[in-house]
Amino acid sequence: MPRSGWDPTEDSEQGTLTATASSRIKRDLMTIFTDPPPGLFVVGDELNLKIIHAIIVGVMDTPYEGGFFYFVLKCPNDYPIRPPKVKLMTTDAGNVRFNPNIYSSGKVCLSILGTWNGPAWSPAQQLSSLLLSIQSLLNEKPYFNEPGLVQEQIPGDSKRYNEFIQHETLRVSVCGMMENQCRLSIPEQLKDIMGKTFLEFYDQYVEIAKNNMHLDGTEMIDPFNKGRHLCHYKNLLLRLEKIRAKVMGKTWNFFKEPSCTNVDLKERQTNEEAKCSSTIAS
Amino acid sequence: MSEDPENVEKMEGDSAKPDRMFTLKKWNAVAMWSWDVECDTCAICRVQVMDACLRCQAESKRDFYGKQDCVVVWGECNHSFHYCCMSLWVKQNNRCPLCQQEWSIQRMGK
Repeated sequence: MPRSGWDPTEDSEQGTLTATASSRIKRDLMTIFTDPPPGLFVVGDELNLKIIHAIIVGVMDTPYEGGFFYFVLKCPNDYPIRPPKVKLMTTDAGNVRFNPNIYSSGKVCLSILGTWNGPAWSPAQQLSSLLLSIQSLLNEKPYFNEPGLVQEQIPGDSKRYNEFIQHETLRVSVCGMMENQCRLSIPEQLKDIMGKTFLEFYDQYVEIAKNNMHLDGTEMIDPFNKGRHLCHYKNLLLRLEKIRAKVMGKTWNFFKEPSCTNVDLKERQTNEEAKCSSTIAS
Repeated sequence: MSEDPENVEKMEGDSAKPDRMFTLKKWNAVAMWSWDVECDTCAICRVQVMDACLRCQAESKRDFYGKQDCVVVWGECNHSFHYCCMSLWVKQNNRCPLCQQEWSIQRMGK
């Protein structure tokens, strides 16, 4: 019986997982836990074994660098006979299309998911291989992911598309995700990983923002989606610094010595913030 | 190895009867074996093909007396899977999950 629709959040399949499916999902998760592929984090849903939450961190030297791309997956009852359904939740509430193959609706166009032409799903695939395939869509030159675009339509299109993605990565998938602007129900374990990864990438974020500051005020055009966006790196830098102070505060709170009071902590945070805004001003 | 102490003693020209440091009285040989097939884990359920598949394992847990006989199936491409797993997959797509070749059974068994 074919399952219509690609959206895991609107999937109507009832019933329970087969014995093979539930053990296989656990095995797939275990494989990722014991041998975690770089930039790939997963956690099973607490209430429903069919549902898996995943964060793909944008790979270095791509316009997605350091971004947090949150996916929700739902396995069918007969997994791995049929593939899971996958949705990207990091879309600024359906406003940003992060890739020619990943729509602003969150739909991921990938042949192994049955949402595109090409090699179909095979039960030899597993969660890690599927997520790695999705990660590979978030590459150095996503412009050329668009089928049929082997050449730029207008010279410089690919570079301009990268600039757009880089800005939106910082705005939506770094700042937006860390502030959880869109109120996504991201599992706590993944939030912790995001906090830790944020600090690791922080210097890169700042560098990207500073290197692109000259673009501020210019209009970015996404050739694959309607809507125009204004570049606003100055504002992003400010947000990044605020997020950093908050994350540092949390970490500090976690490891704080017994003598450190909350007052100390608040003072520290305000100092941090004051320091940030002074950097901005200069 | 056991000759070494003897040689040393001869060289030194000490006693007539050599004192052995140790004698080997008994040993246990250990041999390992594995199935000579290209793929020994069923790619569908990710369990060794020579063990029962996940479904049969789960079912035999529930049914104490009904011992499941989970057989292995080899394709013309030499890839092997549990028969149970493969019969579910071929209904969906009649290709080998590993090499995508048209699936045809070469042999079945254990």
